[in-house]
Amino acid sequence: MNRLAPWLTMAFLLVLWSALASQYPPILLPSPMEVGHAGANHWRQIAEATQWTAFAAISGLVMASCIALTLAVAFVRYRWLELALTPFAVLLQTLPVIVIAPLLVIWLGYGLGVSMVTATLVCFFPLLTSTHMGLSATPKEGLALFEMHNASWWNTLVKLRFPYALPLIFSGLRTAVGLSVIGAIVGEFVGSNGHPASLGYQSMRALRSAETPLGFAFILASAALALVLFGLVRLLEKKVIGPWHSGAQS
Amino acid sequence: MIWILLAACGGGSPDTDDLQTVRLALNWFPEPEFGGFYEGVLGGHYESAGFKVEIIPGGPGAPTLELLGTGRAEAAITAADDLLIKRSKGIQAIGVYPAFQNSPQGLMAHAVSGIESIGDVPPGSTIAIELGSPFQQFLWSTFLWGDTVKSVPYTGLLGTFFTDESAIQQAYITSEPCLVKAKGGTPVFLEASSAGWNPYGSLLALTDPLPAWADEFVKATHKGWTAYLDNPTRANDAILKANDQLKPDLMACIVAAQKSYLTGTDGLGQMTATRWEAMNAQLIELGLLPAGSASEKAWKH
Repeated sequence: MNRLAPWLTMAFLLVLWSALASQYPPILLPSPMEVGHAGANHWRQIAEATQWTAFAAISGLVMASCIALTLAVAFVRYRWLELALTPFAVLLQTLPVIVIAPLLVIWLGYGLGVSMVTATLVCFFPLLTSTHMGLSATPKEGLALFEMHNASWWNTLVKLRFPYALPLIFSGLRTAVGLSVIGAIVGEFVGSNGHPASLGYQSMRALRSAETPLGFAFILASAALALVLFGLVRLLEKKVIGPWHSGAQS
Repeated sequence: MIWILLAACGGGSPDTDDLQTVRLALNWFPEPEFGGFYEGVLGGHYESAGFKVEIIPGGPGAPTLELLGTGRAEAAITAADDLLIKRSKGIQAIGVYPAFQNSPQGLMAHAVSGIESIGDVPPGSTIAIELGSPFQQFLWSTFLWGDTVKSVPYTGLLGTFFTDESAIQQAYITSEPCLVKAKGGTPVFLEASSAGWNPYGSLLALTDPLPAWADEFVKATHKGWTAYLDNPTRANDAILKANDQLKPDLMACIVAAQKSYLTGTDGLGQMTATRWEAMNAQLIELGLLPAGSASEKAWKH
């Protein structure tokens, strides 16, 4: 029954969606059948668009992870750096990406660069806070033990702080991976001129052309992409920390 | 994918000939409103004048003059009002060739509403429009609508228009009316140009001071547009390939609808000081240009 639960929920939602859609013309709310039909007719475009958006989202996630990890380590090592930069990290999180994106077009030109940067911007803060919290949450006993054995700062970081931080780092990654797809699509809404024809561009084009079922198909592809990326992060989490951390077993 | 990435990183092949490379930034998706520029490339008009033109498609809010200003494009498409406003903000650009004599801007209503021109819009109406745009400010200032006509933001989606027969929204003759017709609606287009708002549209702008090749480029552009009006088939086929949301019937509707707007009364590609000064004066009156602004250096014919 537990295994069936998500499928039953999906079936219920599809029935509800179909019932609602029967009350409206497809341009306002297409039925699941119409969306499926549009999706099947344009599967090549959808596959290509998903590939580009996945590239931008993953690139943004990787870039944000690298910057966040580097900064979090630096914060743990140098307290003054944490005090100096934290307000600006918070500021970065509050920047409205949708407003910045048109400026990125001017600075970077059209293309994947804009969506990679917007994906990086939205992923960065949750990754920084979770990694920093994780690296700061090492048990005192462990630190005392390493100190007693005259372990270097680097050894303490790699062999003690980092393994203890992994559950929180993965928690940040799980939040960030969904955001990375949203960030990429926001960038594509304004930063793509069809080269490449990514999901943000294609969904916006379809909706503006009154091709609502096709627009929905692209939107569903975005959701599917986020789900797949989330699943990959969970898989990685189970591989890396699953054997010895109960939180990754659920 | 890797090839495109390399190209995006600037790994394209270097020029091996003496052609002047011109990146032309469009302010919308590839559509027939840019047909003459495509014909200029496909018909070899640019090449025989010494240019290698790369057309860069745009989209909503495409910052074409900014791309010109930052050197990411050598030529940009805009509208006369936008050019005058951006010049006053410090962007060095000059209008050199208007593809549209009459502005393709306007409003769209349902034919059953009985509205035939913008002046007919009744009190109590709601108009979906880009809030704060020069056109919106012109409308409310000219027709003294105040609070009697409500404005709501236009999202680019046509859903609301189809569900409400009293709906009115902004439109381009090259876009929304044909989309609505394709979906079975009967829209009426209310021209901005005949209501007194008539900036040159799809205006080709180059940097100020003008590059040495400007005259030749304008001549080649005119040849492209002349050839396009004569026979648009080749350019339209290329536009259909570049824009997968366009269908042949939609394309035919747009091509037919835009024709008279391209040539106007002065003729294809013409510009007059009177028209520019009128636009300049309107923008000053709306408070969008500082008092004393002049238009004579903003364009060259």
